[in-house]
Amino acid sequence: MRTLALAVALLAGGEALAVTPAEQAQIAQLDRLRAQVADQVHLAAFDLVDELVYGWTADPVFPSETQVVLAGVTVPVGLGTGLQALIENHLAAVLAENPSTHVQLVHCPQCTAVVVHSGPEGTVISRGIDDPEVLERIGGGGGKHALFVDVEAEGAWLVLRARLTRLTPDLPIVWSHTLSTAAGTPALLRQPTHLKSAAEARREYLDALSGRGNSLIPLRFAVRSYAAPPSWYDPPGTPPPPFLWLQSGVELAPTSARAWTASLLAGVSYIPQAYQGLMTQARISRLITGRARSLTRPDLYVFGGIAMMTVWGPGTASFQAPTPNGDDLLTVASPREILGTFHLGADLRLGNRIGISAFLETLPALSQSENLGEYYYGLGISFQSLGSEVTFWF
Amino acid sequence: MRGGERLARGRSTLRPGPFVDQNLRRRWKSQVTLPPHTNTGAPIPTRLPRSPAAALVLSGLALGSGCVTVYQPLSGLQQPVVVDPTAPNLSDVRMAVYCVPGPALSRWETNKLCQRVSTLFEHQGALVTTVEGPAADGEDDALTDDERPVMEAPIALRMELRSRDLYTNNASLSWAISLMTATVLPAVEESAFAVDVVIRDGSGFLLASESLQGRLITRYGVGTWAANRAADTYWRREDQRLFGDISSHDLSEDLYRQLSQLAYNARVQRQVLEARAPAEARP
Amino acid sequence: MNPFALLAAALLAYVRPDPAPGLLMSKERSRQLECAVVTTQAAVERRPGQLAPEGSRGDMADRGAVLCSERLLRAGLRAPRDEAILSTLELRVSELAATAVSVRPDLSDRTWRVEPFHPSAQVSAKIAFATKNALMAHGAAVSDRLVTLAAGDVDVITRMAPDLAYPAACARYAANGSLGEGDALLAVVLRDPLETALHAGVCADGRWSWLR
Repeated sequence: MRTLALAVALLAGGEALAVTPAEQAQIAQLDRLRAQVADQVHLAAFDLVDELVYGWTADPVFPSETQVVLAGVTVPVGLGTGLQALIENHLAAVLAENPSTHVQLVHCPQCTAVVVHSGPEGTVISRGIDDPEVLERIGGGGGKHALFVDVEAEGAWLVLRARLTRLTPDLPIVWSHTLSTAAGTPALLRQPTHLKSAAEARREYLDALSGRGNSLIPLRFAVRSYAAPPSWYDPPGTPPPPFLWLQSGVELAPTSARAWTASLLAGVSYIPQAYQGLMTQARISRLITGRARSLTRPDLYVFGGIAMMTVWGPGTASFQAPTPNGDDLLTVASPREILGTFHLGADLRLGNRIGISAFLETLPALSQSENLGEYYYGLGISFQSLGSEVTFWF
Repeated sequence: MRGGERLARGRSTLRPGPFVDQNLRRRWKSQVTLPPHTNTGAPIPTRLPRSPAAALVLSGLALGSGCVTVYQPLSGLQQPVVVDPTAPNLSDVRMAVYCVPGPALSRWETNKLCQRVSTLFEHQGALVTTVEGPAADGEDDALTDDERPVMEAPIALRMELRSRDLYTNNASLSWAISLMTATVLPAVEESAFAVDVVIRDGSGFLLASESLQGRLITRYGVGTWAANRAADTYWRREDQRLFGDISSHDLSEDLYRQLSQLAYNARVQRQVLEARAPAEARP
Repeated sequence: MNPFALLAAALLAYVRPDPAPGLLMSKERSRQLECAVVTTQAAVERRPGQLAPEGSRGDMADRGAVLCSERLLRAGLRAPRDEAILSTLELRVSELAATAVSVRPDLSDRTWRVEPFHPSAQVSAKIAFATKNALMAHGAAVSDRLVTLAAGDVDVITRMAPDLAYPAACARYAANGSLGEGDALLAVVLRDPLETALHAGVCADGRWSWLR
């Protein structure tokens, strides 16, 4: 009856609690932000749960299999209950995968339900877990333990607190622990069947950071385009078509930090009816975003190198010196040219697995060619070619 | 007047360049403007560098290229605050504010800071006395006869303010790069500071303490000036703008809000101690 | 650091995101960061791969680092008072527990109970959980059992001034048997709605005392 009266009172107050559309929009915006944050922190919370369970496997609280009721999981104030369900499920899953913790999660509806007990000392309304004497009378507690887990956002830290309470009348806390992780720390995503301590996980991370060895095999797709000559040339020049290259070889680094790398590649180009070509290329790269490559963010390298290429086919006539005219281009069926080039560029890599780069290239032998313009002139050098590459490392 | 105590010198992580050394080391307090409701928006002029040649070069470059100073709270200064610094939070509380001069605060600057903090608390209803120098252990013994208020009530809160330099950067390389690019790339000078606040009761019992840390970055150059001017004019919201005295206002607001909250917390803590004292006196 | 790396670092200062407000960082986002000035060595240990370590013969210039971590919750998602307390909860409750254990060594053989007094039930639960863990970490015996008051007691005590209410509640806990002879209560109290500090009081044998 009292509950009914309370409910009626709350409903009557509904009018006063009405919100304006602007406030509704604000509330919706806050809810969206909360959902975003919950999304971002749930992996970190999982990590903390993993570490909690790992601690139990390494140093079990109970000497033998013990029944434990998951009495409560609370999440950061302001983040709603969706996160709570995720953490509960993850904790149950990890515990099920790790029987060496000696923690056996059991279901106990009487423990978490609100019970009303009237006696000579008065009427007590509480959760079963908070009143073990009542719980014992209704047959729920019996030798079990209760596990409480709390996750809270404390500034830039996510903190997990856990405690185990014996469900006897005195409710003694038999074990408690507090763990924390910085918000910016990458989630370790350990496997539930192969948990690791935080120290082991860090060592693994550093090992991965130091690389997969000192030599890698790159597979590179490159496109070189050539600047058109100025329009006032007479006769007007004809620039070569863009060249597509497929390259592979070896890339070496003196240390696993890969701050300096050197590569030697061979390449082939084949477009039927247009051109074919072969090339070799040597390049030295320097990491400029740190002294060691990173696993968590892209690495930026600058590089310089040389290449020797030979090309032939109708599309390569523009490389001829002296400059051929239009008739030459039509009549010379298969000119062959050998070119030496120098290039400078930058390479953005992700985890040393994939990368994208761009470079400027100069062809000194063709500096006077009327078929080539320039993309950039600097340091007394005319860069006639602009290249871009996508590379995969194996 | 006691003011001879030297501050522990903050770790200087970089060897300061000739013309940014003293200038930046003292920039933070020049950014502190008057309390919110008395704010004239005019910060104290930044102290010029000691070397005349360096001052000439720096002034020429700064005037020729324009600069933008931004303030970033590092820790403590951006903590949430519940009290309203313009409300009478400290009605009739007798308070002494001790501003300690040292390598990071000259006597003139100490006086300025003390005056402004004093104004802040007076507007909150406190009876404030300012003192240049550290607080003594005994009650009231730091005050001269002139400084002792007419009221005979004991001092309830004694707030001590000290400042430290956390680091000052070596900007000579960025100046070189900036000059090579005709100041399109900016020269960047930065410094970090800490304001240590300790509040005790009249008998010297610690009530509250906090270290408020912030960072000031000044970028010189036409590139940064033009880009930020365009951003302020066309797309930055009013509360996100960087030009003018914004950094001074932001730093002042953060500092005053934190000092107000700390003083209020200390006041409540003192009430708790007063409640404890009679209970402990009982047999 | 070699000259090439120094030059590269100087150039990268223009493209690397700086935590200070600027073209790429809004003031709002910058205020979300908690930063600390640390040594190069500490920065390399805490953020491996993001900063070049010092060379074996030292660097050409002294370097320092500002390490920043973004706060998990943005401003406005929680009430300022709750945020102020929760963002430093571990530090606060550790201090309170340490004070309780060290100031009252006479209660070392008692079982501690914890009772928070804060207007928000959610924040109260957080404070209680953290305080219990902190007491356990200091080697105290702690119980989850709650202390209770009769409805009549609550009615009277809630009308009293704080300086009288807490001692009165403490006396009633002892009188109704809710706090036994082998128990001690650590109350964590927010005394004023405008403050952001937590206070602590101890109730044992029906006598109340403020710790801080």
